[in-house]
Amino acid sequence: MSIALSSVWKVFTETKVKVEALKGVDLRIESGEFVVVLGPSGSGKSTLLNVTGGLDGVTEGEIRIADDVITAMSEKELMRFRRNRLGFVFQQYHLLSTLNVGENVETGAYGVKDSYPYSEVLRMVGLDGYEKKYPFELSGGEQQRVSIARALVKKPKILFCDEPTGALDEKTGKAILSLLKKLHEELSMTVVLVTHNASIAQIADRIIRMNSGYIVEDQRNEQKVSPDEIAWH
Amino acid sequence: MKSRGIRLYFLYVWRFMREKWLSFLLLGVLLFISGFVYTAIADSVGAFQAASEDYFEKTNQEDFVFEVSDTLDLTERERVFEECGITATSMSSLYREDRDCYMDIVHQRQDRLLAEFADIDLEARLAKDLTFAVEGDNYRMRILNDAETINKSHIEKGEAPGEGEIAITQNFARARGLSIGDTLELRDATYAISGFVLFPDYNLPIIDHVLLMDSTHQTLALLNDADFADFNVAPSMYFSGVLSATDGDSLEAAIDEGTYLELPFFERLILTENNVRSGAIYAEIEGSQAFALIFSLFIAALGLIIILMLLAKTIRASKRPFGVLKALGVPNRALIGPFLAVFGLYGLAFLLAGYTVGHIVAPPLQDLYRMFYLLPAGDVVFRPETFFVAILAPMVLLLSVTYWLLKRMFRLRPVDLIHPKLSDFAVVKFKRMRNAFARFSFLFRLQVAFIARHMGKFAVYVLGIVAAVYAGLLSFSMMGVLERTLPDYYENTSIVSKGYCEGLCTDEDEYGERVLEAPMQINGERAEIIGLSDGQSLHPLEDAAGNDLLGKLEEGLVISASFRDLTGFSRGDTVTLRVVGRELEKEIVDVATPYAGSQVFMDRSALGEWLFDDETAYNAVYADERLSEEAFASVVHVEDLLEHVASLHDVFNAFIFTIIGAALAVGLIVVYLLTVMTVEDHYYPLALFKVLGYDNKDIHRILLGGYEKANVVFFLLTIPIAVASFSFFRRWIAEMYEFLVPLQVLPLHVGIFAALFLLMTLLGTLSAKRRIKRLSLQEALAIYQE
Ligand SMILES: Nc1ncnc2c1ncn2[C@@H]1O[C@H](COP(=O)(O)OP(=O)(O)O)[C@@H](O)[C@H]1O
Ligand SMILES: [Mg+2]
Repeated sequence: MSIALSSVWKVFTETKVKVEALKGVDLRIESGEFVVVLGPSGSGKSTLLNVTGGLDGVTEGEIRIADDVITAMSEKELMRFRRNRLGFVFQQYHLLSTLNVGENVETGAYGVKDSYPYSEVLRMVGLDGYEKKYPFELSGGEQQRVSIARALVKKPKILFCDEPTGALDEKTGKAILSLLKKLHEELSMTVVLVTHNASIAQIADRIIRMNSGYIVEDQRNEQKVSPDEIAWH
Repeated sequence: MKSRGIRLYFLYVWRFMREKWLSFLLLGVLLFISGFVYTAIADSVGAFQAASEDYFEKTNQEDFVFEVSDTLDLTERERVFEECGITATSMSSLYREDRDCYMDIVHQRQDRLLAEFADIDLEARLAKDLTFAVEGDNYRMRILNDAETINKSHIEKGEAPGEGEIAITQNFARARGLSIGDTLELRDATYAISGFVLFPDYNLPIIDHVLLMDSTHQTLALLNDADFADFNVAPSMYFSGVLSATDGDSLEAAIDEGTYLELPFFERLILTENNVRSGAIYAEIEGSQAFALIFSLFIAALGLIIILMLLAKTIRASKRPFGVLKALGVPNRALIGPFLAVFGLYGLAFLLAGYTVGHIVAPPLQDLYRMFYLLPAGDVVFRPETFFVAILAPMVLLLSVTYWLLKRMFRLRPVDLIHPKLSDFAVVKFKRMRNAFARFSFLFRLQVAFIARHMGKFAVYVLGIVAAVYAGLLSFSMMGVLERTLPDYYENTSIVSKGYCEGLCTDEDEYGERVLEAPMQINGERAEIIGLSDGQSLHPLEDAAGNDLLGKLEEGLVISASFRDLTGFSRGDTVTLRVVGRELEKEIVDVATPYAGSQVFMDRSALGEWLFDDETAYNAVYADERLSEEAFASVVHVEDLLEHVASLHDVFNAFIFTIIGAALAVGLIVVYLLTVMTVEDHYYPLALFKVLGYDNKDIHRILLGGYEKANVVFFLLTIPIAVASFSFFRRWIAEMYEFLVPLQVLPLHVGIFAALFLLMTLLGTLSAKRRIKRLSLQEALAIYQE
């Protein structure tokens, strides 16, 4: 599924000082791409991801996903759209502590007709046999895998990841990136990954650089490396 | 694979409740108590009400009474002298001399009253009181004859009495082991019990004193007209009245306008609803229903506060996960629905249980009421309005508040759930708060800061604490309400027996000290005047400080503290005493505090001089030994009186202790739950401080010290609130019925309650802390951070 943003503005006005987080962003992401959005903290990456994923509205401009204009959708339509097409992974895992791993994954399949069996999706994220464990019994990396499984269980067409390794150490972080790469290839999803860590960007097909609400650079990544090889810092 | 969808979220809510099982269990108990108390009272009183209304209708219960004086006025004396050739000053002496002449005066009085109002019917009610013995113990009896139209008697069981027969009340018979066919010795005659009787003008068997309403030590009785007339006791008399159906409502108009009836023999008009003996049931029904409603709503509201706090807590703990789920397309309904359904079902289960048990308890509760009231029993039936109030109303409240809270929170967009914003408002408020407290210690400012973090929650906390303390104080204040009335009075005196003469005494003072007692009006208020002489020793008269006031009687009146409270009279007031045809102005010179009741004390010789032109007059004798019944017209033994009150007590106390228990339990549960929740609210900072290396004591002081101070402050603040509201309640009852319910907040009770309160907060803190200890620090930081 392709994504197209045209002249997207996002201005936050609820705060004392007006913040222009996105200043007329034009962008097209093709179906099946692995895109990393790179930029310093506060440059508007998360905002970009949120509006593109329909978690937040835009101030101006239009966003299309495949043939649907999501900026014209009502809350309810958006919710259905997200349910059927989009997956999200955040820096914090945000699992429900009283549900076990299998049940947490199941929460991601709400109202979806065609989803993976939970054991299969857990095998895909490398947590075979973890179904009955509770979040507090897992390490951070394992919890992030569960949250990825939760996002994937409904077979999304696009996966949005906002700093998915932000809370992890190098080794675990790399493992999560490898997993995302592997899933991208096996499931032929579009993946949009947001990070401030330039070394992570090296794994992408395409790197989009942002600074203070603008896209300042957008290029194919010619020296793509595998996650194990990147220099982490 | 098909997801369980919404069922999964049911599981989530269920697990959440299981984790907080104790809080939810206690919450359930609150809801149970709420449903139970309301249903038990509403259904029993409702059954009672239905039965009583029928009964009052059928027996034509009085709407009001005119109380009249026993003293004959001047025109009456002249008439008696002219028509019957008798010199009499009182109705009772006239009765003994000439029955026909007596009845003539009764009819004349009746005509004079009827002439005043167009819209009333009257019937004279004669009552003969006596003391009689069953198996050696003395009891009181009031004998009535059958009325013609107003206040007709109702035979509950057996037959109306024929010649030589008597009907008494079933309560008395049961308590004394008497059954139909048994005989009673009254004076010199023997009567066989023919049946059990009820009178609509005596739904409480009040004979001597308004507070003596125990139906096991006194009885009403019915004799047939001939036996009643033959029975050799001078009757007391009043006129029972009903408002006739004519449209001229001059009596009501007169009452509304406060018109004073200028007939010399007239003492006062009492409407049935203000008349304890005949109308207390109306207030009982209204009062019980109001109490049940307020009490159960109060508890339901406390339950609601707790649900709110529990929910706010879950929501906060699962805010972010729910944000992610919303991002993934899970609709609000999936998140809100299960909470509503599970909470709803849970609440419903406990309310239903409370309702059911309440309904089962209603018939025995009605029997308990019937140990006081002389009224026919009604059937406890299913009453839709009870069901509605006990179950539907709290459910609607519970569900709408839960829904509102969930909706408010899930209305937020997923981004805002995942990354909650710190509101500017909170920051500004926080800063202002800190500035205001700048001159206090650092610790105190920190404590204030921790409270100010959640002002809304703190408000709920304070509300809950105040409500709980109020409930506790109220329950304690009701303890010993009865002891503070009659027994207190007699405890202050050394009287063993009081002997009353027919009319004035002659030489009965060989048995004890002379006293002159007379009922009268003081500025329109009914009072019991007791004429004491300076030299007497059995009835001390002291003020609050213990100073002797007997000597002061020469200067004027001494009133009892409760009479002061009832009427608002105070020292220095000049008041007008009024009996038939005579008035006297007197100054109130002091207040005797030990006594409860409407007693007003006066110098005996001054009283005798005024009433009988005889400064040696006395009509009663107080003695420090048991007086013989033979020497007097009637004798009151203090010991019997107190026993009488004590037996009333047992029933009353069973009642009060149930309420005390419930109120106390509710109060303490709330204190416990609020404490647990408040401590849990501080998981995050607690863990944080721990990580920073603070020791447990400091952490406790910083986080909970503020709440502890608030506890003390609001505990203390609630005391005057409670005292003020109880005194308002006292005055309200006093205005209605002219007697004081001595609700009292005693320091000892406050102390006991404070200790219990402290215990509950300690238990709450302990249990919350134990749970915190089990939680690893990282986890606490991750889960509870804001
Ligand atoms: N909800 C919001 N309200 C106000 N300002 C916001 C909000 N979200 C983000 N911003 C501001 O928008 C800018 C971009 O933020 P963000 O997209 O989170 O940056 P990044 O993810 O690149 O660190 C920042 O200046 C940030 O402070
Ligand atoms: Mg960001």
